Amino acid sequence: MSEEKKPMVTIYIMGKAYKIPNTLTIMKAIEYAGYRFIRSCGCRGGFCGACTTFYRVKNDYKLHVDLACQKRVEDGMYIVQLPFIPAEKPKWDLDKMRPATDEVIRVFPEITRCLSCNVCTQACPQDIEVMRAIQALRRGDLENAVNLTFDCISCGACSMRCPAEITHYQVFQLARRLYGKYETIPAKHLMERVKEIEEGKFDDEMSKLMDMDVEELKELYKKREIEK
Amino acid sequence: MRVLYYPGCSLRNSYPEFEKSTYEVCEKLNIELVEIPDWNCCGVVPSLAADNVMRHIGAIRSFINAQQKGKEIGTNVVVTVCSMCYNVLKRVNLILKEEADTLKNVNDFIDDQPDYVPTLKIVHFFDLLREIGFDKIKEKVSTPLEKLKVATYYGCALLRPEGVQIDDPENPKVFQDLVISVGAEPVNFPFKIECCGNYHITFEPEIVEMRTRKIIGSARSENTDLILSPCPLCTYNLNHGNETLKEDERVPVVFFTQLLALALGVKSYLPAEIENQILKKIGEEKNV
Repeated sequence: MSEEKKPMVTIYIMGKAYKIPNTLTIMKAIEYAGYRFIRSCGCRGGFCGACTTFYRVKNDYKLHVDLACQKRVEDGMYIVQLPFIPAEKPKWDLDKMRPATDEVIRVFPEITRCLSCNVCTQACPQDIEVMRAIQALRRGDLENAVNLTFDCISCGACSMRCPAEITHYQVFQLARRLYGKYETIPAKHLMERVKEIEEGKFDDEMSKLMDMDVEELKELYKKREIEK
Repeated sequence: MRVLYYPGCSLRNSYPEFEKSTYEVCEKLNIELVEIPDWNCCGVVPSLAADNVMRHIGAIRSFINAQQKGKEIGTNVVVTVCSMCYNVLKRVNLILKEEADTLKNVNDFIDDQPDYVPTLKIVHFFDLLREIGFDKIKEKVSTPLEKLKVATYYGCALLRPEGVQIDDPENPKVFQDLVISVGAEPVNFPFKIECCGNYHITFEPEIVEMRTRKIIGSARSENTDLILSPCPLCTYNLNHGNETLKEDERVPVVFFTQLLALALGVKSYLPAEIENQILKKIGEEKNV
């Protein structure tokens, strides 16, 4: 099928209309429209959380959030990408903390401002029950909060929508780290690998890469093994 | 008796002994507490603006979860022991029962859960005790707390505003009834319904100190052994007041469920020191 005969849709990128084949993802559509990504684009595989995109569609008052690399365009989409989510990351010292929710609340007291509006959950492109996890922390249930947020990719969409100004993705990171450090069984294979790294098993390979020039690196990258 | 149970954040984060002693008491009194799944924080402070429903969404989401669970287990009664949670939940439920337009607004806003149909009944643990009957409770007491003088401090949240009070707001007696049923002697002191200073503890602790010192002093002037509290925040504030007093001017503050548990012969979760003091006073020394 030629390009012209493909069903086309109209989308609006920061207010400007473009005709785009309806089979493309938002990310491909933005490139199709002639933009070149220097931000808001990462793994292109739905894992890294860099391409958080806000949009509205025709006849729907809801503000939607998806990853640009995962969501297909729809007719009448108004889209904008957020290049960055402003948030200060507080410092913490896991060694001096207990695996308890009051420790999380001490670092992030703003989670007690949660209004239960659930907009965070509705914003999550990973379908995480964000509010439930915040409320689990309020209830003293660290394990539940950790399990609910395992799939978080830290895109930050929840934190841009929250009326209580919570930075959920950072809260959950602390929760998971506390839980991981104190409550889970250490992974044996990981300990072994860390030991290998510390003993310098991979140093030679690493310095070989560091010494290559750009062309050599490009060639190596093209020939790499790709997981199918 | 099987009821829906709303624990609240303070019991989970600050005063686990309040909740644990409640469970002990319930087992003894054949009350089955069924925790509301995924309950949200109640919102802590009721909104003073009549149109600010947003502050109450947390409570309402808990009602929706309670409503579903209630259908499963066949009850519409929600009980809480924390008097602040009780106050907020009761007030919000009342608003939704009385104001059809507010209810509609809220249900339209919460578009990711089923509508709330305001048929739940929010009660405080005291209401359940009264329903069981203090004479029945008396029959189950295995360690009568004779000679123990107990000041019953109500605080504000169980008595005000109008519509949520569990007893006469000026001269309540339900707490004294409980104290009598466990064999102790209630101290009727004039500051029993005075405010402890509430959230002033965060920014103006002097206000709390001034008020709680009066409350403790008034209770102490009647040679009281203990102050009983129904409220995590009151307990926190009274303890703060105690800390500003000389050791011999202090009166220990415990949750009412802890004393009830002790009298019923189940685990009270009282600090060993206070439990021993009580047992010594009633002449039943225990080797701990």
